[in-house]
Amino acid sequence: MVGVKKKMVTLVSSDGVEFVVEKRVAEQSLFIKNALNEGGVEEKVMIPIPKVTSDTLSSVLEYCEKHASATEFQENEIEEWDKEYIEKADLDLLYYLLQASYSMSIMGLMELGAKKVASLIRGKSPQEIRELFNIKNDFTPEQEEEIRREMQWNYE
Amino acid sequence: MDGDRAAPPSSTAVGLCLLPSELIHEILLRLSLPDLVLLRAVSRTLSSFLASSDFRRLYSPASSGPCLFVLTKRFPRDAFLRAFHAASSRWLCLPSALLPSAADPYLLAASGDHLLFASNSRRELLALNLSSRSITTLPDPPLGPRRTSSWRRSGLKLISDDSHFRFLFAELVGDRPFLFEYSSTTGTWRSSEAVNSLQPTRGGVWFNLVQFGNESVILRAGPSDEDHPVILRPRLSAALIPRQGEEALRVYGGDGKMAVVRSTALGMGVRVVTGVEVWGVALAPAGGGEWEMVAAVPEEVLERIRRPFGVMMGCMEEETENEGVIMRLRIVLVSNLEGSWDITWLGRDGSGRWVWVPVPGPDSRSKGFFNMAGIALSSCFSGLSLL
Repeated sequence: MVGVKKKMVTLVSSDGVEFVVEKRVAEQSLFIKNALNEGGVEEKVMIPIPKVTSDTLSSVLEYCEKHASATEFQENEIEEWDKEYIEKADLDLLYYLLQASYSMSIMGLMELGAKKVASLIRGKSPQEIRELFNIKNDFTPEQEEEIRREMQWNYE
Repeated sequence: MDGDRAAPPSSTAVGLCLLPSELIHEILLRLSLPDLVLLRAVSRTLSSFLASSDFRRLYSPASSGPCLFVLTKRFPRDAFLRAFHAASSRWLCLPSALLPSAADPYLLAASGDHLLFASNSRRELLALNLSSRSITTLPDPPLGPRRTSSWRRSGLKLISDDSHFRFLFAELVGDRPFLFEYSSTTGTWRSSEAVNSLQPTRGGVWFNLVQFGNESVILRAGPSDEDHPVILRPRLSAALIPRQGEEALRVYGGDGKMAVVRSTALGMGVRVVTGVEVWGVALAPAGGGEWEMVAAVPEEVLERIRRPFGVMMGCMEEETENEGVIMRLRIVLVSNLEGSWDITWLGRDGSGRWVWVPVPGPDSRSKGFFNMAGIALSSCFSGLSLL
């Protein structure tokens, strides 16, 4: 044994790309942490991450890396980092990050993503929300008229 | 309008509505009531999310925060009910079809999903349940039908409990103090005469009855149904008596505290606020007691509300926890200067910090309020009945 060897794990994205990361980074995900505990495997672990593509996984791991060493930073420093991290994600990546954080059980990332989406919704009219998130207006004209009549002043 | 119906399909495989429902809940729970009401009109999918029992279980009145209901009238038979949501500093309009507009209503009180109106033309009390979207007319109170002007804000309280409510008011009949209570569960009124209290009491609902010189008369009801209403006579200390040239508006919170809003004259019929204090009753072991100041709005917050006004009214609500150690409260002052209304919202959080919440005009077309027909604070309005 030469020095202290860092424990590494290999994560495999849904499109087959392998990411070799420190165990403590991967364990930011409760899903991975549980998988490692259950397996009891020591070295050369390969963990498939279903439904998360390599692009998304690389972004998720950037988050995990930062947060795994979060104790070294001031609290407001990590908050600032989080803010920049989620700010540079476009809407598509934001969705993928949310889904990944959910399937991989990374609570902090899930909260960060949900907060970002909520801030995008805040203060917008129904039409603006539809355009931004590409949501189809699936109300029948009758239903829409009813909502409009009931809450007319709010929607103007 | 049809343009968005024909919008091209999403360019991505995921979309907001395709996220797992737990994630959608995570997002929705971070939004305030005014945003949720708008979201309801975006699509059927989102609207059914907001209506789902899962979401309703997670979304508590606490996630919504306190609201101020304001009733205004444009024409004699055209009333608008709005709710100001302090956490988001935004207004919300409630469905006007629900209002008893034809009855010339005046908003008396709000609690949870219940709103109580006094009809001036019919001399009746009307209760609106926002959840069932129904209006009921209360039987005449024991003192007979009364006009809107007979109701004193400091002497009444609405208490809701999901689908039911209790309406309490205190009044001197002759010189005997009475508590009148209507329960929507039984649909009947009950009256009981208050007795002098010998023991110090806390909790329950406190009504201001009258003031004689430096003595105030308070009727305390509850907290439980079996408790007999009692009379307390705390003394007003010299500091409470307005100084020369000063006026002191007293706003009673119904929880044993009052706000004192001091003002001085700026000119003919125009005044300006010089101080806002919160007073509570310190009970003496032998009965009786004295009003004492428990908090004062600091100068830097007062600076924000120093606008000239002609007349002013207000309401206050407090939440006291841990035997009175943590005192959160909010004071809303409604003032009028030459026909234009202004609303001031002051809040005090659990750590004793005071905040001023800016209250914007109700909508883009009008800057102020006209024909104000009653205000009511409610800390327990979840707004779920609007979603």
